[in-house]
Parts: sequence; C-alpha cells; structure tokens
Amino acid sequence: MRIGIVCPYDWSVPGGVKQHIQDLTESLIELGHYVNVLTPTSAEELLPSYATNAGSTIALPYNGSIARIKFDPAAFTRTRNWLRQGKFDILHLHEPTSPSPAIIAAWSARGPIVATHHTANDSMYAVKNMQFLLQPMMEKVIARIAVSQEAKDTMIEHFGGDAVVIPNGVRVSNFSNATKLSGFDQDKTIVFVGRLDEPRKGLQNLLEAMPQVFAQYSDLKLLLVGPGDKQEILKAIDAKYHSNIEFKGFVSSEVKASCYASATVYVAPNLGGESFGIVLLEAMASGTPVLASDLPAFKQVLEDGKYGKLFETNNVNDLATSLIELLRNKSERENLTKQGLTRAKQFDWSVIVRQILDVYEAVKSVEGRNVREDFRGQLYGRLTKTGRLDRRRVKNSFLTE
Amino acid sequence: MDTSNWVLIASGLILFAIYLSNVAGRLDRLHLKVENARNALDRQLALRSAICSDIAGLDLLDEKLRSRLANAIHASISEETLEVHTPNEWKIESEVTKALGELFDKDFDINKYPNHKNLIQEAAGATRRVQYALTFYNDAATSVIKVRKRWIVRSFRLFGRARMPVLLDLDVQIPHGLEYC
Repeated sequence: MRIGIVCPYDWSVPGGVKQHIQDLTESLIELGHYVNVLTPTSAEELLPSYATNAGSTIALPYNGSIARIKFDPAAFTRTRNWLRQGKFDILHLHEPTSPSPAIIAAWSARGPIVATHHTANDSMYAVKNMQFLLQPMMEKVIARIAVSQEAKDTMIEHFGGDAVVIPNGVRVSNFSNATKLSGFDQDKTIVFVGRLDEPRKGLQNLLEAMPQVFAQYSDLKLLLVGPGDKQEILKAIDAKYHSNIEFKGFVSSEVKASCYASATVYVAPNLGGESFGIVLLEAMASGTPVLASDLPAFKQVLEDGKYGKLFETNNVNDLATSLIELLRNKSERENLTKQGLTRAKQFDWSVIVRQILDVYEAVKSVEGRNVREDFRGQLYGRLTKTGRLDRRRVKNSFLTE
Repeated sequence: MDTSNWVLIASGLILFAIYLSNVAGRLDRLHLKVENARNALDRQLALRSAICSDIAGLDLLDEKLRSRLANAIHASISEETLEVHTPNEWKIESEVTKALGELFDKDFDINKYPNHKNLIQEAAGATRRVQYALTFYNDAATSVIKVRKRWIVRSFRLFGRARMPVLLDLDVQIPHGLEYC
C-alpha cells in the first residue's frame, strides 16, 4: 500500500505526536508498505529518508501550546506536489484541527482520508471559532481514529459523529534492549519520568512520601528524569536526603529507556490529566515494575493492578507504604516485571500497526479509489470551472514529470 | 424603486441561490459518503463470514461453540447473498459476533495454536474491520442527519430524493480473546 502521512508539528522538536508518527511510519515500512511523511521542519538535513519537507515553521500560539506552521502559497504548492507525486492509496492526517499542513492537505485532497485525533481534555477555543471553516475539510475525512477514549470524547464534543479508538503503541524492543546506566544499583533505584514542575505529574507527592521510604532504605536513590528547576525540587525535601536524589534533566529517548532499565521501581504519582498511560507501558517494556496512582487511564492500562501496583491518587501515605511494600517484596516485583512485559507486548507497534492497517483496508473499500487532488474548490470551482482547467494542468504535469 | 435597489435585491437573491446550491452540493457529497460507507460495511461483513467459516472448521476448538458459529455463519452468508436488505440482517450478523465472542473468550490464548496463528489473526482482523466499518458508517450518517435537520435544508428540500440514513445498531464487539492478536 502507498501511504501518505501528514505530521502537524516540527519534526526536529521531540513530542508525543511526532513520536507516534515516527513509530507508525517505521512499523509500516517494516511490513513492506511505501510511506512518505509530509512534515514541517526547521532542520531539513535531519529529516529521515521517508519524510518530505512541508516548509519552514513559525511559532503560532494555539490551544495553549505552540503550533508550528506557515500558511503561505508555497506550502499549498508543496502539498499539492507531494500529493501528485506520492500517488497514495491512503492519506493519513494527524491532529487535523490544528493549524498545520494537515489542514492544507485536507483542503487539497480527496479520496480515502484517515485522521487521527490526539488531543484530549482541551478547550479547543480556536476550533470552536473556526468550525465553519473546518467543517468542509472534516467532512472529507472518511475514517477518524482517536488515541484514547478521552480523545474520542473531546472530538465528538466538537464535531459529533463517531471514531474508533486505537491506542498509542510502544516499541517494546527499544526499551527491553536498553543498556543500564552505570552508577545505579538496580535493587536500590526509584525512577520518576516527566516534567518536574508540572503539578499534574504529582512529583511533589512523591517528594513528600520519600522521607518515610528513605528512613527504611537509607542508600536508596531517587532518579528524576525530565526538565525542571533542580533547586525548587531540592527545597521541597529535607537537606539530609539531597544526596539520595539524582537529576537527569531532559534526555533523549535512548537515555530515557536506560533510566527505566536501571530502576527497581518506576513511580507514576500523577494527579490527573492523563488520557493514556504511555509512560507506564514504556517502563513495563523495560522490565521495570510499575507503581502508579489509580487514575482511570492508569487503571485501564494496569487492568486494576494485574500488571502493576496501584495506590490511591493524591494519598501520600498510601504512596509511601505501597512503595515500601514493593521494595521489600522481591517476588512481587519479579512477577510484575513478567506481567508488565506481557502487557507492553499487547501495545507493541507490531500489534497496533495491524489495527491501523485494518482501518486503511476498511477505508479503501469505502472509496474504491486512491487519493487525488481536489479541484472542486467548492463555490469557486463551480463558478470558474476550475475542474476543467485542472484536468489540463494534471496532464501537463504528467508530461513534464 | 430605483435601479440601485433592484440591483441590491437581485444580487441578494443570487447570493442566496449560490448558498443554497452550496449546501445542496455538500449534502450530495455527504449522501454519497454514507452510501459508500454502507457498501463497505456490507463487504466487510461478507469478508468476516468467509474468513470465519474457516474458523468454524478448525477442529482444535470446542465442538459445541464451533457448530453454533457454523450455523450463524450459514445464516449470514445466505442473508448476504440477497440483493436486498432484510430487517433480520442485523440480528443475524450480531449472532455471528456473539458466537465468535464465546469461541474466543477471555481465556483464549493464540499462542496455544501456533499452526493456525495466521488464520486466527485473519479472523481478528476481520472482526476489527467490521467494527471500524460500522463506526465509519454511523459517523457519516450522523453528519447527514445533522445537516438534514436544519430548517433551510428541510424547507427547500435540498436533499432531493435521497433517503434519510439510519444509524445502525449492530453488535460488533471484538472477541476478548482476539483483542491483541
């Protein structure tokens, strides 16, 4: 199958959506499909061979985060060229409601179009106001995928209709084969991954719980992986424990995998706002037992404690006692390692990609034709007969190619 | 009235006509989308019956549940070969889903059947595609229904002779045992 994927964000900036697209693309290529990704980037020389540059980027505050895209005539031309040259069977857009090449692609193409919604729990202020502009493009989308139930609910709230839920995948082999960090005792290390200064990640609760744990295990190390202010964190905990805390800062995904692999227990003290526990799956894929708060999303991934230990959300004492229990009980940890790996494999990209391919198959049979340029242009097309004009243009470009 | 007023009224009418034609065009495309989605669903249901009839012939699995599946598939295939849709259709297809759900229940482990892994994965894919196709159909149907409810569409009959699509209620649960195949 020939698949065209549109990435909405700058390829050179790490992020969840970009990671999703990269893993999906590589899994599809491994299965022998032809894939090309159209993505904005600020560093063209770093693009992998399967990606095409959609143009330079510009920071645009959108939806509380920064979207990076320039809407200029060149971007339209580039997208149309990409569509023409790709001859795709499927066009797969990501985050189709963000101001990005996804919108330009939806505007310029017709045929079997699939869209994945990643956002959950968002006010989507811009979407509400732009709905009348987005509607004709959203209606061209034949299949909609949401990465979690929450993302689906958010999408339905704004656009109605229905979507299938296909969760995020994890590349198990990237984590299970990670090398361990030197200088960490794998029986005496606890790891936390996430932004240190983001209250929803719940680090302050973990820091409050740690003195109880350190009292029993004085040589225990707490490894904090993620960007944030060190001094602020150290202020929150008694100075005598400062030597027990190590900071890793913002790290590449390889180092992150090593951090998981070097730990005795991975703790996810999140307080909310998680739509899917991808971090839990990463830890489980590394063979690290997971201790997580009992948020709905986490409970679902851990199947009520079968695949990892749960404690009551925002309960510091429960966190401390559960952590001590888990550190004491080696056989429980070994069991969780084994179970966790089984669970992670269920979300391996080799499994998830089959579900995405099923969507492609179902969509292909809806349309029965491949992706082509859209010249109808709504009102404008009918008045100026662009349709006829465009046929000539396609012929010309065919001759010159 | 002087000419400028006439020009104003005429251009207003023209704009209104263009707007109406736009909505009608959009509705037309949406109807086509629903029709295509419906055909795709029919095709995926037929594919599921074809693949799962091989499953019903697998003698490794429980005899009683297999014969239930075989009966359900027999009914669905004779239903699918009909040119018209009958009211029984969804009951029959839901029965196939239920029979599959019992055959591949929570305790089913694909690794116990290494020789038939491909066939079982095919079946898992077929059940997923039925679920997806139904979702996409209902998605398209909802958008048509939403547009057709607007007063301007109703009063100018912009939907022409196209029939109002119906939302389908059909059991398409993916069997627990096949969820991660």
